[in-house]
Amino acid sequence: MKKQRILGIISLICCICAVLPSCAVLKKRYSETYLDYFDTVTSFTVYGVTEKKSDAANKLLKDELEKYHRLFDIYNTYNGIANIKTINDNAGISPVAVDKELIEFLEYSVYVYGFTSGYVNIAMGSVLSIWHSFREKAVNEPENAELPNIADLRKADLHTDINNIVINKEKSEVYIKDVKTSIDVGAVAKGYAAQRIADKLTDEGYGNFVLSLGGNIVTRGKKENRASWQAAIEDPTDTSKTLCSLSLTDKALVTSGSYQRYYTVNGERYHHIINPRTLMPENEYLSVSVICEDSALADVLSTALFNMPIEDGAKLVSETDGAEAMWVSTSGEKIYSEKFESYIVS
Amino acid sequence: MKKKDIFLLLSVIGAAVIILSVFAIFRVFGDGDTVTVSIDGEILTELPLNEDTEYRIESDSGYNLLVIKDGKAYISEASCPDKICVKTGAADEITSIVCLPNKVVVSIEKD
Repeated sequence: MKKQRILGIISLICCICAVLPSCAVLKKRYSETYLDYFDTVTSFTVYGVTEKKSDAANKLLKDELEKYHRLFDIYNTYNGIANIKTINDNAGISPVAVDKELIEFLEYSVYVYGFTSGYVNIAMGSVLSIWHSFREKAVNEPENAELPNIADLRKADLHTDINNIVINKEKSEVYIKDVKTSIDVGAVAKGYAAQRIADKLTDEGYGNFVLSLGGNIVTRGKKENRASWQAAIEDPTDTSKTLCSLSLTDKALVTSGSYQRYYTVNGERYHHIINPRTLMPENEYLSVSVICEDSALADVLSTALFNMPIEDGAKLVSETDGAEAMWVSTSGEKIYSEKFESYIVS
Repeated sequence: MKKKDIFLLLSVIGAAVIILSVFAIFRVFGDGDTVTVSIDGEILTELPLNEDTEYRIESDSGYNLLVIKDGKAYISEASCPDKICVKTGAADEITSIVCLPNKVVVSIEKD
């Protein structure tokens, strides 16, 4: 009996020691950073899975990032894929047969034009490409930084009618009627891609993660100790500091800001969020952050609110179920929508 | 018989506690946080956060000067045009410093 007892005790100790460290292994988090997609930084943290499962999650994420990066690319084409650049290259020439996913994305973007009263317009490529080339030139030769000619911008603006984009759902074709019209999806692409990718990860069984696609943040589930994921908003006047931290459970957070992508002419900054009405970047706000369940909608709203007069912007937010916003004005003043502050933890 | 059972039960629990404490002690007496530097996804070097140093990160497209001082890791100088990596300030366990043009990522790993 003594021998049995001793054996029993030893097995029990072994079991306890084996099980407890494995629990520690299971409840781990794995993080990865991706630099090759959407000309920005994507970071991903998945929790509550084994290392093997996290590798699988990251493989899925990388494939999806590449897929949307190529599909929404307006600067490069890829063998075997009809993407946005393909559609733009065939403007005024012929319809382009595209994947169903691209049709859905473009239909969403057209809907968004109406939803934001034209403040988010994917047909603004002709205007945005002028700003893009002036900005690129200024980044490479800061001494020669120049502003585009307003007359040129106005001329380009004659070709920004959203109705120039003809979507044929049945044939899965897109045709741009006007040869000078081009699609630029910068205001919608990252948020839309983040949403689709997050949904795909959830479908594949990953319930607890935080994905940041160039600052378009999507949270799902919880982290250690059943705590909520948290995201901080950078102080646009000093990016080594944060304005606040938000507690987010199954929510998206997107910030549009003028403090990273800009160039300087005669001491004045000209950033990348162009107002469709004035054809210029506006300097009312330094950043606008939007919380929403859907990351695509959050991306759209943050861009629209950046240029909309505050009364119109606040009205749009209040009319959008579950959306909350924070505007940071150039003076550093913070304006909140009704329930934004309820997400702030510090 | 009851006494013996209780004694055995306590011994088992005691042994488990001792073994787990050993695991915990090893973590507490660990080397401290690590600053991981990678270029284009490949780890270049790992440096201790508690040792002041300056490290010049050379990439195909330029350089970033990493400074570790007083338990903080930050980029003081960089060849990139935007200097976003410099403006980011110190890295911590949730914020990594990224220089996109040079494909550099500086992150903190807790021990």
